[in-house]
Amino acid sequence: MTTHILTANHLAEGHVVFLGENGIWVSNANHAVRASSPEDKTRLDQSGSAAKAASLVIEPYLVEVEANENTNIPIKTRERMRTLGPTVRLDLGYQSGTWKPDTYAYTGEEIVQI
Amino acid sequence: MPLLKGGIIEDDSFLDLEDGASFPEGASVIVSWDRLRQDYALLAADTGRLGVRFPVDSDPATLTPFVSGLQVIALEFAAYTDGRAYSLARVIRTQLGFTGELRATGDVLADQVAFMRQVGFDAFEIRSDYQPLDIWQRTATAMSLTYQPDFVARQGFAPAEIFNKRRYAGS
Amino acid sequence: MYRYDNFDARFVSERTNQFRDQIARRLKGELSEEQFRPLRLMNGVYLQLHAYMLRIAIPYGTLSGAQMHKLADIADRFDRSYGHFTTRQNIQLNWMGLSNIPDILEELASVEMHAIQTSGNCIRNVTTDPYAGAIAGEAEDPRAVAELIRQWSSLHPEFSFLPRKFKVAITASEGDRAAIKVHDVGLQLCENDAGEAGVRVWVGGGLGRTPLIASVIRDWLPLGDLLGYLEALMRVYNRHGRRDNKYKARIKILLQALGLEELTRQVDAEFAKIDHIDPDNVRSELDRIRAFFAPPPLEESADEGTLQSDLAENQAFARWIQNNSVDHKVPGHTIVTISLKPIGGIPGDATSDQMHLIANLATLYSHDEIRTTHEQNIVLPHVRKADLHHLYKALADAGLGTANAGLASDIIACPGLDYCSLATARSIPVAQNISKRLEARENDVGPLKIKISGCINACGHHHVGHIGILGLDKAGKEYYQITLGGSGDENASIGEILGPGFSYDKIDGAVETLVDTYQSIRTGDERFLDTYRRVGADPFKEALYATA
Ligand code: SF4
Repeated sequence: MTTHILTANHLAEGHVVFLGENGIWVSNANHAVRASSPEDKTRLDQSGSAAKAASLVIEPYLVEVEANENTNIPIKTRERMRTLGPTVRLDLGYQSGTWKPDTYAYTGEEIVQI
Repeated sequence: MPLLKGGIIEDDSFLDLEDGASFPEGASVIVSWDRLRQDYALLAADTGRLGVRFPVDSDPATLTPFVSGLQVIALEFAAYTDGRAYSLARVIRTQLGFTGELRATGDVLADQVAFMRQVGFDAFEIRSDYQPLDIWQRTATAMSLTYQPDFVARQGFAPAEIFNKRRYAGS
Repeated sequence: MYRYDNFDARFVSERTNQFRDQIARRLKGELSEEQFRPLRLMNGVYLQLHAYMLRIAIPYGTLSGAQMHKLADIADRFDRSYGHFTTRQNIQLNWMGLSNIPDILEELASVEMHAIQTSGNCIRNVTTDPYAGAIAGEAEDPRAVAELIRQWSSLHPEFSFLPRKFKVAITASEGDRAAIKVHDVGLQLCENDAGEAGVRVWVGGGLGRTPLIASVIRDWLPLGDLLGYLEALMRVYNRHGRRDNKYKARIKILLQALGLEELTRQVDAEFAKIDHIDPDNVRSELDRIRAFFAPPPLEESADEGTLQSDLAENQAFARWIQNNSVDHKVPGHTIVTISLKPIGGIPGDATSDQMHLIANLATLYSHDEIRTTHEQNIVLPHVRKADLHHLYKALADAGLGTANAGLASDIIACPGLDYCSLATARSIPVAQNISKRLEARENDVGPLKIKISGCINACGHHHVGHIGILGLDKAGKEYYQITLGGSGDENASIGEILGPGFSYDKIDGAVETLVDTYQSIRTGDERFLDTYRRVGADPFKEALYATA
């Protein structure tokens, strides 16, 4: 059985986000909610479409990950790079450790910054 | 479908006629390109004003024998990224000398209307989910200048052309 | 350099306001992403792997010191304090937020710059020879014609939704440093037998999935007819170019489908009907523009200051002069290449501090002029020989003194999988590994163009590399295909695929084997490309696949 998480880019800020608990989009892929059953994946997909329609994120899609106890490691190089940053600039992107873009939630009415 | 024309949104006074459908005598109709070629004599005699939906992959020169009998030529944007109708409109205006209504149909978006007007369109079919009139007006007038010689809208708001002007202004 | 008049300035400022409005509507949800995408692309905004990327136009690769300072300021204020110079002479910023972009465009407009048509299915930034106006033997400075085309193509109402992007390159030299034969349209300025100024028109070149060398569609065209002719050609393409398959949508495929004769006939027939562009107006507009490209007041001088003794004393400087400088048309001057390929560095990247320094040095030593090159380097076109040593020392102190222009470590590499959302494999670290491997002997190896793309789109021009490398994905692993014998100059050729590809770990070693092979079989002062053209692929294949 494969496990997926939902990723997208934040519409206004552009950076990579993952759907976390309680409908909150986060920058840390390890905090993303996982979906393993077809029903859960469909539900994730729908959350993505809703956040897209609400002009919170763009290009939402599911990413297959290796689900460990505390980490979600994407299977594809491309997706791993999106969770970290460029391999040639370890000082940039999430991997830099200085990366603290805000997290966002869509409450159905408005977008709140957390 | 509502029509944006001359700065206002109005109802279409033409009937979009399906192939094979009969038409009320004296009505204003827009027919397919096939139908126009088949029934031109009949249509010209029995209808009021006459228009055609001209396919954007056809050769505009084939329109020549009909131009004087047409009040509307409608060109469809199958997707707004399909730019063929821009070239067709340009040819129909500048090479066929058509002076009637050139209508943009299909995927017509507010942000493309300015370009469409510059190549010669003067009527725009707006889908039911169209944006408010003020957005159409704002987007159509966002650019008041154009570099291209002779790409100036025919009526209403027209961007100023610089290319030929520079020569005489010595700017 | 060209300077905006009131019209140009208002045009760019209105365009900025228009995009500000579009972005605001997008953020409010009044425009869907599908409706917005082509609008943002036409303004240079992509969504890349990590964030938005803004591609800023550097028309025909020319910048003033103030413009370069502004780019550096923008990189500091709105991005991560660096920029990436591209193979289309533009610059990209990689960590953009959408909401900042209108302010950035306003900043750019304040120094007469913009990001118009750096993407989208429209006529893109016109590129040219980085030595334009400085090298001997040009018909004229090609940048005047490039500027004419830039203006004519800006927000062209008829040609903004073409089947695919459309790239124009122009040169005025016999030696082609603008790769005009691998562009949708290549223009070569030249005189006819009567000595009139005109242009030869090439069409249908390009890289990507179907790499092709362009054909001549018009042997000579008077300059006054250029815009009318281009309008005719674009119209034929816009109407008949394929729209059902984006890999078959470039004009080169239309040329293949119709044949040169039929395409020529159609364009000529359309051209005959175009009568609204007065050739006199084109000529007078061109004259107006030409005045801006008058050569700087360089004094012919035999005075080289202490150049000869500095060369004798400083070996590194001497090597830099040998590799990174070319004679200027005015004696006593030099065209200098600043390499953006430090050994093991990221090809084409410059920090904002480096950009500020280059700007200052250009003002001091190069009549305030900077060029970007399609090989992802920087050129200072008008440097006095007497100033060369000062210039070198300042560059070397800032890590910009790499003496490798045209050598093995001067590698073109697209951003690849580290940044680009279309990529199938990384390009940058491959370039870094090869450059480290070959550095020690590159002076002995001599001229060698290695070009790397991270996918079949070929932004790294791998088909025209002497050694070309294409990064692909094979069952989830990066793997690299090698082509040999490509060239983008006046004797352009498309490289040929050598054989099975190599893994990420093996590709730099494979390149080294190719270089070994060349060194063992070259005769006289043959370049890598000459040897390849003489002996063909076999000895290289043998060396590579026997040991692999
Ligand atoms: S060649 Fe491919 S990977 Fe490289 S920049 Fe172009 S699209 Fe991206």
